[in-house]
Amino acid sequence: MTELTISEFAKSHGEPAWLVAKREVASDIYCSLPLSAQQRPYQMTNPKLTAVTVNNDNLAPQHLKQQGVIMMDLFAAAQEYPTLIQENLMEKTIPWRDNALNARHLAYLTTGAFIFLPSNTICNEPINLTNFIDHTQLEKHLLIIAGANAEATFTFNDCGTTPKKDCLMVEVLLGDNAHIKYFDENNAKSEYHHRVLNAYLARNATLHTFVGLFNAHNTLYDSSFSLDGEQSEGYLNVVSLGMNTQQQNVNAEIINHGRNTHGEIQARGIVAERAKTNFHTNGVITKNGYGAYSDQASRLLTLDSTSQGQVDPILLIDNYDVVAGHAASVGKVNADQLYYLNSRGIPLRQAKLLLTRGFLLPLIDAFPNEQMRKQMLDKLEGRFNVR
Amino acid sequence: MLKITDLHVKIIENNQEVIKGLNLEIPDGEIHVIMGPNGTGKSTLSQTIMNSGKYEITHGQINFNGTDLAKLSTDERARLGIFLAMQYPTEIPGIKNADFIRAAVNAMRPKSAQPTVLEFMQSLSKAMDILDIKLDYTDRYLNEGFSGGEKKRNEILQMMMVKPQLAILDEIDSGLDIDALKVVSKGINTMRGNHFSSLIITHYDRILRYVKPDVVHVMMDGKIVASGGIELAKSLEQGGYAQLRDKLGLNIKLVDE
Ligand SMILES: Nc1ncnc2c1ncn2[C@@H]1O[C@H](COP(=O)(O)OP(=O)(O)OP(=O)(O)O)[C@@H](O)[C@H]1O
Ligand SMILES: [Mg+2]
Repeated sequence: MTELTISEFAKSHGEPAWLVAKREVASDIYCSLPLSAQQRPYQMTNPKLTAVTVNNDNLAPQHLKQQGVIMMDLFAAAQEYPTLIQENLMEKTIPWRDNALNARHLAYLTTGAFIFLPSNTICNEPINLTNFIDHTQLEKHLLIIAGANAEATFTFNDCGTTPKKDCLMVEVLLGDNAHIKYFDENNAKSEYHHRVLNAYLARNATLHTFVGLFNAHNTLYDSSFSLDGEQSEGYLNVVSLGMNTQQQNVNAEIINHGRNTHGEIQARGIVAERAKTNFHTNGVITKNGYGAYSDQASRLLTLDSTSQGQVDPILLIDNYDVVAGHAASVGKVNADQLYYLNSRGIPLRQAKLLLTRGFLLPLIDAFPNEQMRKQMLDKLEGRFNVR
Repeated sequence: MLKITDLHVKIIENNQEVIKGLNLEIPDGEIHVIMGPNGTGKSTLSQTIMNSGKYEITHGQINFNGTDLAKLSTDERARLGIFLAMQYPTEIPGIKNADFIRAAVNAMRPKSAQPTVLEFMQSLSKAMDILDIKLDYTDRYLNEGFSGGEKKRNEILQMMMVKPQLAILDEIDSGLDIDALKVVSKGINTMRGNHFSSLIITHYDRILRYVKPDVVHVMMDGKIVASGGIELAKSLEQGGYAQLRDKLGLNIKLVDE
């Protein structure tokens, strides 16, 4: 297949001119944008672009389509709903100019989906977003917009083969009083996987995200919620498992802009066998954040002396009428608990596995479907090569 | 049969010797009792038999059914058939009680002899019935938020499920109300038989009304200083440790003096 330039690629499936132009600018300037040491390994070599066929259909299930729900290829959506996409794609939650990875992502984006819930849509069944993108691509994107009073639960799960390095960026924009849950089971197979989930919340909106980082290779997970509207609430939950020299960096941030906003970050992880995990959590309360609540709790359990865990919670407060706190710990397996299990005949490895499960269970149990919970627990067991 | 010979044990943390030349033999099928003042080393003895990492044997031997325990880890000792109901059972949030007991039951047997989930749940509910434990305790986290008495019952439940050959019960009667004491005693009595022996550590002769012991030992200052029948326990209840000590002509200082 012939290799295409960015603009040839974009035009080949009819992207609007503004998007083609934006991609070209992004491609021209990404080298000059900031790139942190942590981000550097997640830079990719530019992919060969070849023409893709775009499905222009609304792929939402019939009963949701009737309510006006749109689930569509991102490039098709750029033609069908140019204003919505132009205003939101990499503008509000993951600004494309912020760093080299973001700009490069926009320039070389080859697969994506647009999910739109009109105002007042209530989806009772969890919606699985897994098959809306092509997992074999390098730069993948989900843009989710929920209108006022919309309610839905989304699930996502990596599957199939992935390239050596890849990136998935997820943008979630919530209108007034929208209530969204997003459950993400990271099973990426790439050697360097970068994942971003950023969100913007309008008045009274709530967002719960749960991400299980159970993939076996190096991972950079960035997530930032902007609690913009009054009384919006964000709950950001991360569970991780680091084994076999794997390196994981988690950057989780909640920004309380609006009055009486409520943000909680909870991160729990296991590190063993020369793995290295870093939980960096950030609670930011801006000047307007009267009555804000900000809490972070990060706990890492290191199973042996070869592994490294680091947690650094940060609170930046510009307003004094707030409640804020953080708890952080990096600990070993509790010797008394281990002894108690051993004293019942349970061998060391299994005892550690039980304690590890027990440590992660409260977060895993929150996942809405049995299959996801089971997959995570199976992964934990399967990858648990601790003596 | 458990055979302990001239055992000396020190606390690793502060190098203090707690067990100072202790001898004890518990033949199969017998129930033995150890009584002794606070701080005399009873729990240390039980934890040492189980190989807690906090204590170290400096001299002597512990032998179970002909095996020297010295080189065996805690879980290996348990799999030989030794069970320790701890004075202060550990709380483990995140592990459900039933899952834990099932793991313990399975650990004691080869795969082919492990009960199915259904068989396990049936025998568990039977044992819980005997011990008057509410059904929802299977789904609660291990000992988390259990009251003192509930923890003790849960230890006996584990014993009944695991079916050890030797059960060391460290103050299993402490903090139990009268009904609970009867229930726990009933649980212990269901285990009685030619292949079950027990070492009951206690401060009171109350439990001995329900569980008839074969031998009562008195431990003071890290040693067994007297052994006898149930009448020894009764005389202690009346006269206290100081009287016994003076009668035996021992030069030991008791905690409360
Ligand atoms: N891990 C430890 N660290 C420090 N001191 C200890 C430790 N374990 C036991 N000791 C000390 O060793 C002595 C014996 O303790 P042990 O718990 O064996 O007594 P006990 O006979 O069981 O007493 P009680 O009847 O009060 O339960 C006590 O003085 C106690 O303080
Ligand atoms: Mg004691």
